Amino acid sequence: MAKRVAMVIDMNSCVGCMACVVACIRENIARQNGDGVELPEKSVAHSRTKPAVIGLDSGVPEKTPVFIQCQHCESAPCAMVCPTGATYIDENGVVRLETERCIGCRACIAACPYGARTLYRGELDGEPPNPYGFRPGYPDKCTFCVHRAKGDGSLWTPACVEACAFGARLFGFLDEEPIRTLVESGKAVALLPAYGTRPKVYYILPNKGR
Amino acid sequence: MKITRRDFIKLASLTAAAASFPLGDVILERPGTSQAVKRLQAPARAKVRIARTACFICGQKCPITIEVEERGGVEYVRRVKFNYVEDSVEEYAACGRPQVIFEARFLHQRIKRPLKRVGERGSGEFEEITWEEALDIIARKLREYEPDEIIVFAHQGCETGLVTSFLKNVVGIPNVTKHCDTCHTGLDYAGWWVFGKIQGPGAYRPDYLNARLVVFMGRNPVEGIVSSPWTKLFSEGRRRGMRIIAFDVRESKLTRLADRYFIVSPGTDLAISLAILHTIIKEKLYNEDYLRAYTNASMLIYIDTLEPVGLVDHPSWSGKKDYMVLDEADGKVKPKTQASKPALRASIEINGRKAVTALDLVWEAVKDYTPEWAEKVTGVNASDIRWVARQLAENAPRAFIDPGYKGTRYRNEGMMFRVNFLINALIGSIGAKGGIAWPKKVKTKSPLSILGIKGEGPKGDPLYKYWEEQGVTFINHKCFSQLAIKSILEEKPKKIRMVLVFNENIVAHIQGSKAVIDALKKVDFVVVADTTFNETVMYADIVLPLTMFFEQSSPSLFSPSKTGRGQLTVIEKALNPPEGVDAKPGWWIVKELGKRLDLDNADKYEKLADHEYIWMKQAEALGLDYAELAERGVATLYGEPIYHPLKGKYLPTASGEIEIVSIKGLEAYRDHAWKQSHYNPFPVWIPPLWMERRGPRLADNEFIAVDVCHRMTATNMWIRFTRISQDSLSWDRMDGVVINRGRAEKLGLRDGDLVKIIGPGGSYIARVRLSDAVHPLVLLAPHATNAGYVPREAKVKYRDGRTEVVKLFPEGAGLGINTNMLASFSDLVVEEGGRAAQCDVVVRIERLER
Repeated sequence: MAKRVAMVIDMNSCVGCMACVVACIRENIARQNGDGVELPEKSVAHSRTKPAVIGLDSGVPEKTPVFIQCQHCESAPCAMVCPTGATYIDENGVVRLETERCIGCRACIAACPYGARTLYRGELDGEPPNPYGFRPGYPDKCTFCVHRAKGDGSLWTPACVEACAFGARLFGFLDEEPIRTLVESGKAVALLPAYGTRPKVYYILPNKGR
Repeated sequence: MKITRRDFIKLASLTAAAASFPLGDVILERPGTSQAVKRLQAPARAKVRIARTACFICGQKCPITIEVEERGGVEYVRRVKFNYVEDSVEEYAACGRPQVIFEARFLHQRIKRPLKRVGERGSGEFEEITWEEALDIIARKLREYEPDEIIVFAHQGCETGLVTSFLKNVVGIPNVTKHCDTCHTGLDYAGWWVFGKIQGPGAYRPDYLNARLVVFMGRNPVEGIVSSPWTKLFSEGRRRGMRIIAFDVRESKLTRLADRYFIVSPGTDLAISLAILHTIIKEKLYNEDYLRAYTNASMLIYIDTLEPVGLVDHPSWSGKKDYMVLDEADGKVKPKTQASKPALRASIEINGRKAVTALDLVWEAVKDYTPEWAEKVTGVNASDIRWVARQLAENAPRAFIDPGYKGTRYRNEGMMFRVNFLINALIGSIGAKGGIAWPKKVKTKSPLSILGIKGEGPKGDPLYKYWEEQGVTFINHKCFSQLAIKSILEEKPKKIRMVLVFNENIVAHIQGSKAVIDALKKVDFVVVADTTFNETVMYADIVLPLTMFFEQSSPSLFSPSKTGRGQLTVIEKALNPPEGVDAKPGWWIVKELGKRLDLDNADKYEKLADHEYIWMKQAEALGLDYAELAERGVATLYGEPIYHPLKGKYLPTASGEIEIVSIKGLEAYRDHAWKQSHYNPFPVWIPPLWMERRGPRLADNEFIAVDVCHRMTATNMWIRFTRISQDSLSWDRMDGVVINRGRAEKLGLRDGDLVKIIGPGGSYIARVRLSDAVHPLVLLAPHATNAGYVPREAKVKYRDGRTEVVKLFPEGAGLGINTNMLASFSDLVVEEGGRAAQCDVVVRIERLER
């Protein structure tokens, strides 16, 4: 059985420099065609990870900086409501989208309590930057850069993790160190725990007011 | 065989991947060096290059690697990563800015060919010429004018050092200026008073890594310019438990990370500083041992004449002075070097004259600056100010007020930095681990001197000498761009005929942009070399297109200078400029001009192209293992910064100590004591200019115009033209001027409305963004996100008959701020080198019809 992957984002180390956001745009969204770059309008909004500040009723203190991105839930509402099975959870626990099956009903967008899925109604010339790259008209989401996986069960490095020079993003197997201890100790927490979605993206929240 | 849905998806995925990226051998090579070629398994028919270079988007030059894939003759930027070095991973980083490289190379605003002006100067109309023609014209003009009739404005970006060294030493131009008088000169000035030398922000190394508490005023190391190493230290410091207190006029990423954040009235940070100093002295929170050992706090001063009681030559420090103190051990007055316990507080009579200590006089200066007084000025509660002072003392020496960088951009910021240094000295954090350490710097040998090109040096006097004679003080001799404009306009000390701008946007950067435009229109000949069109290019006669930093190798090693451990990086070319862009690097321009102007050394200039030879010579001169540098692309010379209050030996002050009252300052400016003056040798409240002129209240439609830094904009201003930068501003709702919601609603303004901003130096249209997180008095946006009254498009006619219209900002963008276009050129701070005070300006806004 394949091991489930997870991500921990340390908001004490994160300075919000946008390296992860722009690296994601380059890796998954933008289309380099040799004589220019095609980007969707409001490209940052379509990055598969983007900074935000959340607060009330989210289970964390008000004005807590986090990232809006797919939380790769174990009980993913988007997958549950998908009428065609286009959104599914793969063997690594990565919530994926099979565009060929997607009928564009947008139920997944409505179901996601994290606002993590986006749909671009415009057009882009050229081919997506990778096989699971951004496609207009589909409810896009983070894939943990699964196109970088070698397919041999080994861990890969998502573009956002690679770009973060501040060591704020940790990607690994959920049941192995160091993520296991961070999660089990409660140092890394999931957002909206009351929803029962069981995300696999965790946050180490800023230590404040010490 | 049964294929499950997942198997099918997996298979389909692999098939898709294989179609896009068929597997096979590729060559991994390091451009620009003779390193061995490796083979590895990776995408087929693709050649993958990894260039080791440094990011020049801000001034820091963080080491990065750029992975470029070449397939079918097309180059793709695949990865941009920080070039990790194991032994200094806590101290260096690369932020999000270099991640935009893949988009930046294709910017519509790029200057594609050498250009010659065809319309009126400032019309933005150009036509293409060849490089030969452009360089011949420039060489002819450089010969035609006297060197002191020429001014060079140069930014600190890639190869500016080489270009300015050539122009100054070989061509002989005495007036070569950087831009720090529009940036951190207030801080530079403060260094003279306390540490004896005009010195920039790189002279200090905030030791966030080991700090317990840091207070930020007028400084945001998270989003500010030249930030990544400091940001990395900041980030690591937070991970280790560093607490943060921030004062700012707005909520920001820094304030959201801060343990405590206090919103403060614009330009009043100095009042907070004075009240903290007041509290520290009043409550005796200072470090007595530190003050005795490393500062002149115990120096006796006659109160009638404000002269030190007696200065004698220091017995062991060459060229330094010893001073008289009251020795508490025996009650006698004697030179400090002979005293066993110099008194910090004393009031005695010597020869019938009353004398007190330097610390007593500082207390005399700040005794009325109570936290209650500061509360009235700043809006911050007195109890909070007292709490901050006590926290600093409690956590000292691993606590400090950040030394700062660009500052608050108000008239009084020099005094604020001075007072903050005094606070840090009083709590003993200067030179302490976890305090403000001293960096170890590295200076590389100039490529020109390595090649045996010396030149005869500058010919004629620099213009700052004239302005010093006219009473402008504390001029940083490397940074006098504002005074250079004044010289052009007033033709003093002589008429300036030619201006050469290298990689610098003086129209956008200098306070009072209209004056800069007038100056550029006044001279005979203007050359601008840059990567993209900008506000300054519009006024050029000849425009030279520069390569972007990742499109060139460089004949010099570079040092990310701000972390103080002497790191050096090689600069390798990652990829070519896009088709149709005939841009050249600065070193190539020097080579070609050298061959035209320095005929005796013409052959030596050819050698400028042999970068590896020069790197080896530079490494050799530093005792650096070149093989290691070539292998890793980066090397670090030193283990740690200097942890010693006096930088290991003694400081450039008269006493060699940290001077809480400057001996040289007392001698030169004692007449200013107790006055509201920048020259006052003691701490004093100087209100911001806006407050002095207008009082604390403004009319309903009036604001203080503030420009801030943003994580996706920078001083190297092409980044603001990228879609990703503009989309980031939009995401952060900073794609316009941010105004306090309550005040905006009072004016009937809605989010997204267009307004006209009118300042004493000009006016332009901006978009309003409403926020609850900014001080009611300010109107703010990231720097130079508005081209103001400069022509917003250029028209270029190419030799093949095509005509291109280049817009600086696309429709809907460029509606933020540039305070320099609102402020008046006449409001320079002449006491501090004629520097700018770009945010010390009252503007009014008028709503445009919806």
